[in-house]
Amino acid sequence: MDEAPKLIARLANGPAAIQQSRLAAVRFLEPFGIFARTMNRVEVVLEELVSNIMRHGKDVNVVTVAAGYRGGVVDLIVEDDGAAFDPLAHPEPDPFTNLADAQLGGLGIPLVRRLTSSARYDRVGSGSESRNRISVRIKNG
Amino acid sequence: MEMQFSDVGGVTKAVLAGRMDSLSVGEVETRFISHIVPQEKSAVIDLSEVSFIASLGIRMLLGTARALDRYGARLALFGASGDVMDIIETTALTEIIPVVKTEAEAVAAVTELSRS
Repeated sequence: MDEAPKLIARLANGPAAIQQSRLAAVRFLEPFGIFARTMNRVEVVLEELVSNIMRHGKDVNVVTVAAGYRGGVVDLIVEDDGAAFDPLAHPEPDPFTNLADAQLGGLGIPLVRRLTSSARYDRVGSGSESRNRISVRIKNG
Repeated sequence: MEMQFSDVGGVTKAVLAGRMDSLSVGEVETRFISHIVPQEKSAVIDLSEVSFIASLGIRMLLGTARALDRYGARLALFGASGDVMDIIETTALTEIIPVVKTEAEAVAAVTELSRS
């Protein structure tokens, strides 16, 4: 059973959007019978992407989430209506080698990169309809 | 997220329960670190009742370990479920903090590290 990405949540930007986006994804994906580990990864990725918008996108009003499942791969597309901002443009932090030098902040987006098989940023739409779009794919397995 | 503290043979033991997501970590992080770190002694954290962890949860554990390190004290984690362990391993936290299965292994790990 495959399904192309479709809108599953349209949310007001704020703390509640984090849980609402996760729950919407779980509801959408449950009928596909995906592995628990994959579902957990989906939840973590959404937590990171939506909380990142909440922390950094002070001008964002609306966050949308679309999800699909095709060929054993989960598609997630998170969009916001804020000013252009590519969170994936930040360089990877140095790998952990010792406690004293370990970087405390900025762990979320690297975690998204590692949990997904692809992660891409696009600025879509035009004028007042412009949006930031993050598209990620998570393999079921 | 709920937390409880006790002493196990001179090592601080913390039990965390619930979701370590951005909202819950924001609510407890300061209280958690300010309870453990000023004691300046090694600590073990029971994660067996943690159902979910994201990057801010990892940051809280890492921040605690770093703060203890300044006093020559160590931190070890134990009891993580498969889902929680998947995220801990993905962040490579296991490279710098012992993550083991049982409380006894965690206590042994921090005791050994404190001597080294």
